Amino acid sequence: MSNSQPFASTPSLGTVPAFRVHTLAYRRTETPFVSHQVSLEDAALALGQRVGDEACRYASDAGPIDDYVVSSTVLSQFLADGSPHAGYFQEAIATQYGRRPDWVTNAYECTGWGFILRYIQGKAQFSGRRRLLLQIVDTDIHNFTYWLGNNRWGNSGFGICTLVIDVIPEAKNMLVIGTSSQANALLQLGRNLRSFTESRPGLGIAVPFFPEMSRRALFKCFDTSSVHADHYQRFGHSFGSDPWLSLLGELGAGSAHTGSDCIVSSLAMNGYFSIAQITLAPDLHYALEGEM
Amino acid sequence: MKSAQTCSLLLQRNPDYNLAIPCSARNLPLLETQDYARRSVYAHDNPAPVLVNNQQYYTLLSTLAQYIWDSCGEQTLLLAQVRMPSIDLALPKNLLDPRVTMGAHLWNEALFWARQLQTPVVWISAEQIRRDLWDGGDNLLHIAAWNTAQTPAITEWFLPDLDYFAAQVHTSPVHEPFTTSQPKCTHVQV
Repeated sequence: MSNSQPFASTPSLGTVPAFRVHTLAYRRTETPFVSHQVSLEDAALALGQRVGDEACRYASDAGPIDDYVVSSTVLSQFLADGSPHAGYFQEAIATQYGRRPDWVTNAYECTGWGFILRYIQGKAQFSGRRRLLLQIVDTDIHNFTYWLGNNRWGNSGFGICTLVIDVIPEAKNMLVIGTSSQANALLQLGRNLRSFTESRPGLGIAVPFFPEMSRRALFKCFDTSSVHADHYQRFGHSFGSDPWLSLLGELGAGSAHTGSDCIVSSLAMNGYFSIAQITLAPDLHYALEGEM
Repeated sequence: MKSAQTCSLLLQRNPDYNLAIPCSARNLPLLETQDYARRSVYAHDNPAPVLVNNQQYYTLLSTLAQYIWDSCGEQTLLLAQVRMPSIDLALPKNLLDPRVTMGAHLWNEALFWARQLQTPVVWISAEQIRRDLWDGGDNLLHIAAWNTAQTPAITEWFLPDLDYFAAQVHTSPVHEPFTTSQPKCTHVQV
């Protein structure tokens, strides 16, 4: 696939929040998550229970949820294909949280959160502001070696990110989604980060967690003075959760603050990228590994 | 919202039938002996043939999307249920378009849009098309369309375009494919 322009015009600094984050939590999952003797049904139930537990813990007090979506890169196809096992996964979530996800996607890999925000903003155009519960679930119930890490993204980190985000229809140009060839993916992410951040000076920038060599290549493309600290050594590449973990790191360190804006970004191995300006709510609830 | 037109099509033949094609399916690499064991845990018997590889699967989805826009109008929203992921194969660009949403359990989302819009909305269930021995599925493609003209019938739109799959209209219990995997919407008239 040839390089292409983003599917939105180059944004300018917005004044109205488009994506206001009310809850941000991450918890790692064990590797392997289940032993190889565990049946597919039990594995689906175990992961669903864990996902539902996280939703219950962090979204139960978030008020009415309009949309509940699960996104993933590594989620087993058996849990997202309409099969009975996908049903067990959903039912286990509902048992813990009281509601099934409305839909699940592992089509967009690490950038799924951006595609979901775009979609929900489309719905909000018709129905007004929508409160989204988004869980980024990257746990491989099969424990395939491929997902443990490789030379493309380094060592992997597995876990569940739970986000409650108000999606506001009026705000435009706060999200860029694009695609490029795999070979140029880092470069294109960097170039688009440059375009996006130039009109947003001073905002913190969360980038994916990659090994040092990839990070250096990305950093050649834009002004990195506001990029968050790197947490690759601690968490590994945690797929679509990277920018949100990055934010949690900054909040924990006191270098990001509730009520402020920042920029989050992700890159998929197939070359898709998502970049967004998000606003941390003044009453943001956040937790890393259960620590508020 | 107009009532939905629905159809189920059984795909019976590889689109490159009689041609030599690369056998690479771009599935997840099995890197260690243990990976084969991990995979075999969930092996199952399935008499339905493995019909396509990932490249052909993406081409089918991309072609359907373009065909739907050509037939129903450029503004048509498409919600496609797919089995993912595949490795090292990017989705065709038109499937990343804002008019397309891909995932699982999208029936209720399709209903939302069908009620909101006067313009066509199309839901496709393509997750039962087999690409690997590991896959479940029966190679049935289910399609529902709202806010479209009632004639020609929906099967007449798609059958000629899926000729290279030897697609055949599949008679199944009324509406069953359109509700069984969508427990929240069994009460909804389609």
